[in-house]
Parts: sequence; C-alpha cells; structure tokens
Amino acid sequence: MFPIHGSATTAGSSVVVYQQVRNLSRRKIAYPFYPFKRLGREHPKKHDTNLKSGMRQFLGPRNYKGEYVMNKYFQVPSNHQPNYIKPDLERGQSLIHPITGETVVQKYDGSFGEVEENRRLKNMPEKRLLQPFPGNRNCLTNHVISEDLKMRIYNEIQVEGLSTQQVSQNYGLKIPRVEAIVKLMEIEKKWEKHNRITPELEVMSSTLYKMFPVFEPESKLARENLSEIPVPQRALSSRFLTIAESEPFGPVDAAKVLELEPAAQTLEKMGSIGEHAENHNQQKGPSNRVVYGEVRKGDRSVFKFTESRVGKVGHRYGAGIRDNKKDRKIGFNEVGQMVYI
Amino acid sequence: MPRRATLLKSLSRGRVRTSFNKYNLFNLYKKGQVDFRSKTLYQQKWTAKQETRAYHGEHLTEKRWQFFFNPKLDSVAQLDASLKGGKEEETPFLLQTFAVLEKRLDFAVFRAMFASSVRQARQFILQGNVFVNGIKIAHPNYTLKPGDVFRVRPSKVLEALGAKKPSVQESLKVDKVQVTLWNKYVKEAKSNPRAVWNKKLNKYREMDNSNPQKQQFLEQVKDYNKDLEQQELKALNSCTPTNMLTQILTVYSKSEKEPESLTVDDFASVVNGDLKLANLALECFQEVNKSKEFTKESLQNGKIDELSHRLLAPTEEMKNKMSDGSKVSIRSAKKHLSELTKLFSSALRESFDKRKGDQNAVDVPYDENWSSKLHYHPRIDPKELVEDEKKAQEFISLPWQQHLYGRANPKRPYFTPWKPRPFLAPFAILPHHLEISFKTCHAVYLRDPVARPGHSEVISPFDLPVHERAYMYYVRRGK
Repeated sequence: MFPIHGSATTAGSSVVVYQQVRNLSRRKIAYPFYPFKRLGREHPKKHDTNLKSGMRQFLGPRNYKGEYVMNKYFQVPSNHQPNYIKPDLERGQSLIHPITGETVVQKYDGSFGEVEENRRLKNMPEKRLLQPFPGNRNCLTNHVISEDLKMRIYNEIQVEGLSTQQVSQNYGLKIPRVEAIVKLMEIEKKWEKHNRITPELEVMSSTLYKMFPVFEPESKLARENLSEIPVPQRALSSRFLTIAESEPFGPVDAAKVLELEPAAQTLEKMGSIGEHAENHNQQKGPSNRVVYGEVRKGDRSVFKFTESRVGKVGHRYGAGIRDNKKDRKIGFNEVGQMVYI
Repeated sequence: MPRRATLLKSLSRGRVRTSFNKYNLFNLYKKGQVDFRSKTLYQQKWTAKQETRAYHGEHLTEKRWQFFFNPKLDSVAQLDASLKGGKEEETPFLLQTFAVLEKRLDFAVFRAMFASSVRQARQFILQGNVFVNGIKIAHPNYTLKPGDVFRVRPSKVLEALGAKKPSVQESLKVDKVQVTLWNKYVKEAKSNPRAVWNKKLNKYREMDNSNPQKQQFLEQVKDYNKDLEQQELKALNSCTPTNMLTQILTVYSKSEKEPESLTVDDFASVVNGDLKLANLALECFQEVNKSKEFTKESLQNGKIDELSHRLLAPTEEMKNKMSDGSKVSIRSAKKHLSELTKLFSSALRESFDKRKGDQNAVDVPYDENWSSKLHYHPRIDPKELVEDEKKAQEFISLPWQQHLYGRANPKRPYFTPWKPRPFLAPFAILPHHLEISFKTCHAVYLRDPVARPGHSEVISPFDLPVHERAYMYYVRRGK
C-alpha cells in the first residue's frame, strides 16, 4: 500500500488517498541477450511475439523441404571439428550463405547481405572449439577413438597379449577405457560376423564419428592424465594435530594421520584391476566351486556340493528382516527386476 | 511418476533442458549469464536451483531429487601436478552437484546419444528397449556401476538421431517442388548447356572444402580420372611396333584398293585421325610392301598379328630366305614404325591429359553431350498419388531419388535413407565417463563422472557460480 498524495484545490487542504498497487510478477521474460530486431506495430489478431520473431531470425528462412539451410548449426560437421554454439562471440549472427558458408545478416528490406569478418570467431582458442556450452568453461567434449586405433589396441591386447597398463601408457588412455574399447570391439566383431550392422547403422556411426575430434596419442590436449587418483573424502576436511616444531611432517605422515594409504599405492592398485591387467588373478567363469560326492556301491543318488556365501542363499540366521520397514532399500535382482533388499 | 511435461520449451521462460529440440537450442542460444546482481543470497540460491534443476533431472520431482542428492562430491587429484610446473587450474568441485544423476540409466542413455532427450530415454527404457549387461531393464532409475555395458535397440537409436519421417502427403508436396525445379534446370541446360555447365562448376568452386556436396563431387572427379588413367595405360601398352604394323596391315587387307593407290586418309583410323601420323603410317606400309613378303590374299587368309611379328623379328631361316632388297625395306620400315609408335604414344598421352578433370581447380573438361543425357520428369499430381503409396513410389524417378522424399523404406519409423536430425551438431557432446560404440549401439559406463583441475565430467550448461549456489540451496537441509 502506497499513499498517494493528491491535492484538492477546492477544499484548500491536501487529502490522502490510499490506493492498492498490484504486485507485479518479478518474472522476467527471457529475451535474447544479444541485439535483435523487435516487432513493430501489428494487428492484434496476429499473435506474434518478439520471442517468436527472434527465433525466426535465429533459424533463418525455411526451404521447401523444411530445412533451415542458412542456419550455421543446422548441418552436422564432417571435418572432425564440433560445431558448438558461440552466441557470445557472434552476437546473434547465426546465418550463413548456404553455398559459400560466409556469415550473412538479414537487412531491413528482408534481403541477406554479407558482413565483415568476425575476428573473434577467427582466432578462437583450440579449447573453445571443444566447449559445448558458452557459459561453462569446465565442460569439454571428449575425443573419439579412430577405428584404426581401436583395432590396434584390440590386437595388442587380444593377439599380442600386452597388458592394459602397457597399452594405456602407450596411448595415454585410462585403463577402464582401454578395457571398454576391447569389450566393444569384441561386440562389434560379433555383430559383423552375424551381419547385424545394417548399412543405416554404418551411415549413422560414420556421421557421428566425423562430428567429434579424433583422439591422437601424441596430442597433449587429448591425452588422459594417468596419474589421477580419487580424492578420499577424509582428505577434504581439515584435521588439526599438534606436533613439535622440529618434528618433520610430510605427505606420508599426513596419510598416516588421516588413516589413508599413500597415493602411489592407490595408483598402483588401480592399475592392477580389470580383466586384462598385468598381475590379474581373478578367475573367469562361475566363482562358486562345485564338488561331487564319490559314488559308492549301492548309492541311489549323487551328492553335489555348491560353494556359496552365507546370506546370498537363503536367510542368514540372526539377520534383520526389513520387510516391515517403511523405507526399504531397493535394488535389482539377476533378471533385472526391482526388488527389496 | 515423472513431473508433468508442461512448458518445457517455453521461449519466455527460456530454460535449458536435456533435449536436442530446436526450441531448446534457441533457449540455450539466447541465454546469457545467469543474473545474480541485486539479488539477496536466498534469491541467488533460488535462481540457481531453478536454472540447474531445469536441466539436471527436470523430470524428477524435487523430493525424488533430494533423495539422490549427496553433499559429498567426487573428484580426482593428479599426482604429476607438481612435476608439470606452471599454474595449476582449480578443480571445479561444485560442478559435481548433479553428478549422482549421471549414474541413472536414463541419463546414461541420453549422454551416450542413444536418445534425443532424457524423457525419450526414459520411454525407451520403459518400453523395454534398453539392456544392461544383456538383461532388459525397465527402470529408468537403475543405477549403473563402473564397467556396466548397456545397449539400446538400434532402430530406436536411428529414430532418435535421425530426421523425422514425412507423411506421404508431405513427401509428395516436396517432390512436386523438386520435379518443377528439376524440369526448369533441364530446360535451361538444354537451351544453354555451356553456361549451365560453367555455373555448376562455379558453384562447387565457391563451396567450402568441408562441404559434403563438394567432397562428393571431387570424389566423382577422382573416380573419373582414375578410369581415364586406366584407359590410357591400356592404350599405351597396346601401342607397340608389332601392334601398329598389325593395324596397318589390317587396313590394307580390308580395303579394296591396290597397294599403290592407298592414301593417307585410309590410315587415319590407325592413329585416331592424326594426318601427320597417318602419313608416317602410309610410308611404313609402302616400305613393308616393298619387301614382298605377303600378298592381299595371304593377309586375308592368314593371321595378321603373327605375320607382323614374323616380319619384325624374323627367324634365322627366314633371314636366309629373304632377298637383300626386302631386308633393307623391312629395316627401314622398322625405323619408321618405332618413330610412329613414339609419336603416337605421346599424342595419346596428350589427348588423355586433355580429358582429365582437375581436382585442385575444381575443373572438368566440357562435355558437349552432357545436356542430352538429361530427361524431363513428368509432373506430379499429389491429389492423385496420395492414396496409393506404391504407385507414387514407382512414379518418381529423379536422378538422385527413385522413391518418395524421405520414404525410401516406408516401414522404418525415421527418414530413409537415414540422415541426421536437424540441429544435432550443437548438442553432440561425447562424454568422458562413457565409451560408446555407435555401430552396435552399445556403451560402457566407465566411472562416475569426476572433477579434475580445470575440467568437470558432468555435462552442464552452467558455470561454477551457478552450481555453487545450487549446492548451497540443497545442503542447507542438513542431510
């Protein structure tokens, strides 16, 4: 409520008139941040808005096939250089000449004319080309691994018998990624053998392959850092400790205080997991051992003993039953059904 | 139950969603920095929460999301950081606020680009098109573990990433325009072939080298050149003195004239119509004829190639039989023949080079008959064809399209032959926490996304300050 002062000249004294002010919504309409052509006066029956018109300006004209060939983001790139949006650099100039590929803008008479070259778009840093969102510098697209390199990795591991550590050191790829490449190559080979890769899938995969930057083991930007270890939660909070001034205190001591193992040890451990690791001693196939009992004369049945963990089979004596609780934990069983655990 | 899908693509709200939609692209494009100026701290947190939640798990209700939220964030430390030297970039810890959602199956399917939005990924899962480690999982909230392999039915992926399939009516409408434009082009080409030829080449020259149309054209030029080179090699290999003599003698055996009355014009066919070379061929013939080793009858009855081989490389027996005069004339004929072969092969090379296209200058030598190969297409009446698709399919035979537009295989639920959906490029982000095989529509979940110096594996359009405030909003509840 705001008092509005008005003066009544006839009475000679001022009168206070209270009038209620409507609280306007503070929600702002999300107009483009760059300059764009606003609509002029038009017939109220024509329900056009500035936002719709802004979108039309962004997309450019539509051809008879329903394609926006003048928009620079319409087509997919085929030169391994991603085409991510750069509205901050181009200030809304999203149209190109469909044949020459040069930037054009729509003039006031509706025709398209060329503009001078945008220097900011020309001298873009390499990292910016891999950044999908203009607002987030910390988000980058990954590099795709070429068919050739995949094949080499697969051969080195499956045919030559190299360990994943060696391959990952050679090419600068993390061990899980190397394992995944081998796994996927095996699937691809199987599909090829059974003729399951249709021509359409080939076209799609080659189209997508050409859209992403290719991984080069020599490139410093693309190589993955192999010395990464997960930060332990305990290392994120501060711990206070009183020690003598003369007492030496290094990272290994800190690890001891935080009850952590040294980082080098963690890194080494991370290297030895996985199916194709160097000193991998995990056995393949079912882990539960089966022992058959000796069949003696006169026995009518064969005894079979299967090794399994207590709790996995049947109910463990003394374990709590949670089926009367309100918020029971949910998991998935072997056939993919959602079950209470 | 997911949240109701209302006002997802509203332009006036301008929220960014996990979707490849055209409207979403414009919303993302026009979004500037999130504005925190002149806002109280709580307002800032609220705005940040609104913006981030519109992207991260928009289909989850607030309660459901808060069930997932974990204030402990995953990150990695790089042990070689101190060895590298230089200033180390900061680790964007708080960009991990929504990292827990990336473990969900529906998010992973979307991030692997097997669906065009998280909501579509959800549908794919619920309809039984997604398998994890070979087992069908029908629950979008299935949590993936590192090392899990998931796959989506390829037909669904092709549909999600492909362009929309037009209806019969729509494709007939497009084809009508295509036919009209084609007929106009044919008419122009027939009336003024040279100008249209040059115009076409000029168009390719103007195109950027990365343009797929230009690349296709250059590929065609390359194939054409390769074909010509093979022909050239064949022609040059057959251009030997023996072969030339065989051809000269064949001309004589087939003509009705006496050896003395043969003229230059008769031998023009041997050397592709070059009169200077034909003269040389005539001289050759006269010399060979002088040797009197053959007659017209012997040529017509015997094998000419054997005879010419014998003449040029006579055996000892023959040498003894021959008179001195014929020996001399054959020797001089040999000389003439070798000169003729040399000149003719160079002429051949020249003529082939002239016909070759130039890839660097995007130039193909003009072919005079090119416009005669173009044919008009009969006009299309969509009203008549719309009822019977089979008839319509047979009716259309444009040089680049022998079927209805986008309906090469009408049984498929997407545009055929397959092409990528419009505006796919800005949304195509290859994630770091997944390894994808598009050929088989399989992907491996490598690890939960982490943050490292200068990089976060969580894909988000918002920067650190926004995530920071969103994190502050969610930790306040004291979870």
